[in-house]
Amino acid sequence: MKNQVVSKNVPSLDHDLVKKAVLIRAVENKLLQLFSEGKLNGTVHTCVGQEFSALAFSGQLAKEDTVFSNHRCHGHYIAFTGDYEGLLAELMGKQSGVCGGIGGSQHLCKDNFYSNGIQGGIVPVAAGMALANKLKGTKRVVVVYIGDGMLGEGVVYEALNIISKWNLPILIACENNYYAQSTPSKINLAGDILKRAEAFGIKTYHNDIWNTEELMQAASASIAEVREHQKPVFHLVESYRLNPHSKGDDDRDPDEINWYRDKDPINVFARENNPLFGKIQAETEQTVNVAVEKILKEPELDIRDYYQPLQEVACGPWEPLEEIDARQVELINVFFKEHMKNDRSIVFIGEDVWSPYGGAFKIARDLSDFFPDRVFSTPISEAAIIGISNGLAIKGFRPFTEIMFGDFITLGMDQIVNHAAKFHDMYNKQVKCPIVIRTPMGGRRGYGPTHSQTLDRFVTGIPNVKTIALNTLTNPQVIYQSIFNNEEHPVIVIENKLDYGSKIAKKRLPHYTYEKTSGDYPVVRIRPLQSAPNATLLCYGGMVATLLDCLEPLFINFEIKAEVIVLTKISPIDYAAILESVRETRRLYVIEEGTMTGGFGSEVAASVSERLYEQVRIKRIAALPVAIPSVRSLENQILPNVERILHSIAETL
Amino acid sequence: MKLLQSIIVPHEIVNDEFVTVIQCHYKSGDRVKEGDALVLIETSKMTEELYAGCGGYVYYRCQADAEIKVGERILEIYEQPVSSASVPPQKIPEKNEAPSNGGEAVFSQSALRLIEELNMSKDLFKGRDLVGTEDVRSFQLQPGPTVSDQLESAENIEFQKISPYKKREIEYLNDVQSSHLSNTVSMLVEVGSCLAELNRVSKFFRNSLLLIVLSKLPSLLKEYPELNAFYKAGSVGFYENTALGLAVNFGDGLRVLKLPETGEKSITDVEVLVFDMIKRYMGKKLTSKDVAGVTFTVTDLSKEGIHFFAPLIPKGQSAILGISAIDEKLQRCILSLSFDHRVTDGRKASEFLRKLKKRIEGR
Repeated sequence: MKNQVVSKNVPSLDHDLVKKAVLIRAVENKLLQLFSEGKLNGTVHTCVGQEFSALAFSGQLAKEDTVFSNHRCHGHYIAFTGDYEGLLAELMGKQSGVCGGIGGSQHLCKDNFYSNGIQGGIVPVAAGMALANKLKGTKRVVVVYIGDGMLGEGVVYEALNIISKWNLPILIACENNYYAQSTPSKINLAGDILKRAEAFGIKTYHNDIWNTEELMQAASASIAEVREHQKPVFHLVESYRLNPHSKGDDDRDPDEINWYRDKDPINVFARENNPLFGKIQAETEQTVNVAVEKILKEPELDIRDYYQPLQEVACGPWEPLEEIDARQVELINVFFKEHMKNDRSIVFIGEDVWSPYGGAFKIARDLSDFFPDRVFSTPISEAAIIGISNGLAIKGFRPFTEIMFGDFITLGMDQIVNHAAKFHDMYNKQVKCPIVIRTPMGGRRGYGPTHSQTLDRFVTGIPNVKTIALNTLTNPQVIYQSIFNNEEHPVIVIENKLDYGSKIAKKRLPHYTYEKTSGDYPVVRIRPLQSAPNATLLCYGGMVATLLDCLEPLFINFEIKAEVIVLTKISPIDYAAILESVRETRRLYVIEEGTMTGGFGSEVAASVSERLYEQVRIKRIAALPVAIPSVRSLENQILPNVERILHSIAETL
Repeated sequence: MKLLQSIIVPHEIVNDEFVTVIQCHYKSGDRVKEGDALVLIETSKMTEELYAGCGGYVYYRCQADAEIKVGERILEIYEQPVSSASVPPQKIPEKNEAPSNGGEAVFSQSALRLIEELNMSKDLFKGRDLVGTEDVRSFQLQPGPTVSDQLESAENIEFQKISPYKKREIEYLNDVQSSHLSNTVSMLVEVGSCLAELNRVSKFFRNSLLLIVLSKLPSLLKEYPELNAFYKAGSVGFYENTALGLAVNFGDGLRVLKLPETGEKSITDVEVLVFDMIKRYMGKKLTSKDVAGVTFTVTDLSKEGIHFFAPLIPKGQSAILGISAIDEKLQRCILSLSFDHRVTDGRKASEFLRKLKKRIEGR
């Protein structure tokens, strides 16, 4: 490590370059001071000592290029945007900050610069942005900054694999400062950093900050290579941060730190160019101080400019439900065929979706024949798939991303919760991420515990994310059309394996009317032709068939005249139709295929209780809280079946 | 056993599904001649004799005071005397009851038990969707002809079952009125100019606008086809021809007598037509042709001294004109036109009435 530190040619570095480095350091030091004075929100991860790494890549890009950085992003930000004032204001929590004070130190966004404090997840998002550039045919470069610590995250390797296979024009700038937070990398980092990239067939380069001029030139060359050849590059930069990981948490050997402080390029330049440096230093500090004084007086963001409560949609008029003599899978497939033809921003991403296979459930049949440049059949990498889709979405595409089984959505939860759902809000509304993730949930095919689950609870109630569930009573094309027309934020569509083969609204019970509301996400209502209902049964998606089988026995045995309500939008829920029904019936049964605690039924029960003055009897009927067995006879008893639903309801009478 | 003739209940009156057997003139096994009147039946509009078409031995498949369905065999004439043992049972053609669930209600188990307990019939709930115990109980409490024994045992009330005739009259009048969309407009007609002349030429219908109304109506109805029509299941049926009917009640119930063409005839001529019709009615010489096919009815309560009434519209028609008594002092009387709002409207009805008034008043 220490052998590489040579510090050649530093004293004769370009003065403008040094000024920029000094500015970065001055801002970082000022932030540390402000932190001590209690004037900052949260903590800071300063990059003091690593300024030239920022300047080498961020500082040598065109403004149409993109930078995606991590928690230690200040240097990268200032080098790319020059906006030190915005950064200061952001950390000081002011409205004029980069993200209005919402993002803080780790979550910056401005003019093609993005950062996120989640380790690893930024890489596939940056890869998605590079893919967007490639699809648009621009010769733009994306730089993603990772650290040695981030090499512990699996999603980085998922992304590297795809980056290499798909030839994405991205430069991975890896800053190795030998420590991941408090842990020296030699403890946690096995093998060789460069060999990791080489194993994926990615071209690698290796520099250090102390041979500063060489670093600047090598970085410039890497950027040019990515731009010209439209292929990825992995550029490793040895460096050392002179300050603690954040604030006050430094257990490193002080001698070691001092050794690197002595070799630090800015400090070397300062020693060799004393009067000049002193001037630069003084001027820079003055500039920063003046800015801080001004910013201190500025206001913070008003909550009303940040958060507005969602308006619930009123219950639309009821109209008759139409039958459609086509299977759900065909209808969805045709939707994509038609819309991908007319709209070049739509991208279809998933595992095994290429023709002739067309995806595990054949939703993507023939799509790659028609649109080979916009259908992506991915490796088995759920996190990277969703991350890449996020990057595409931010850059103006409409990705429809298929996760093969709903159970696998757990592998992509970080990308959904900490990336897709966050971008719009944490960047203070500057970007939108209109990703649509489609995934089939549900059992009754004997696939066993990890391929049969209904995990709606993990993808509902996420702020800024809508969750929709298809069913066999409404036209899926109408749903997807609504999503396509209206949604600018992440949408998760829960489909159902068993429903794919069904036609729409075909079988009808003779004594019931079938109606739906006319809105974007129709609510379906099935009620007795003449009799007034005395119970409301609520469900979504794949539970419809079982619930309808309950209607007649419910009446014959228990005199329950049930009105069934089927929701399409299950998060956030519009309660108008449910309340209208429950005010009359005073009995609400929520039947769900997921388990009970903290699930869909829980949410409905709580919300209905809160909204109604009238007393209502509510009960949830759900899957038993145990892994779903493969053997059919047991599976049928674990998941809600007609018999158990009838008994559960009877118990409440 | 040779069957010589079988007589089925004739479908004389379009809307009748059942007729009532008033009297069987013979007993089963009696010898009858060709032309003998064998059974008197009653339809919604009139009574009718059924005659033997040949000689032989009669066998009745009906009973007095019982209802029998139109199209069913009412009697047979055999070559030899017959007894019930020797006569083949009537094969009632199975009505093709398609088990359309749309007609069959779903009953809860408790409801079925209750229905059995109360000795009710499931048919009472035909057309319902879901029938539970509450539905059965609330049906029980409904007043009506099928009221349960509970009410029959109440004191101070004597129940008389309504005659099949009355039942059919109710059905006849209920048809249009049950829509709750019938309405009545009425107008004062100045009779000063025409009454003297009317009373001079008329023998039997003095002090009434009946005859002049009957003479003016046919041509006026041609201009208002919607008043010469009827509503059925979302459509309006327009009669091609006009056939006026006169509602009469000579103590044995309401009848509507079809009048021959009265359009633009003189009062005297109209009177003759009406008088002839009534005479035939009184002499029981009316046939079904005399009552069927009325497209517009006139009802005259002037003899009863009624100064205003809102007549009920008969089945198969969209309007009815009511004639009230003349106010002798003021020399005027009210004409009322009830009309079916599903077919026409108040404006049209008023226009019609106004024109009729003008024509009667000679303007």
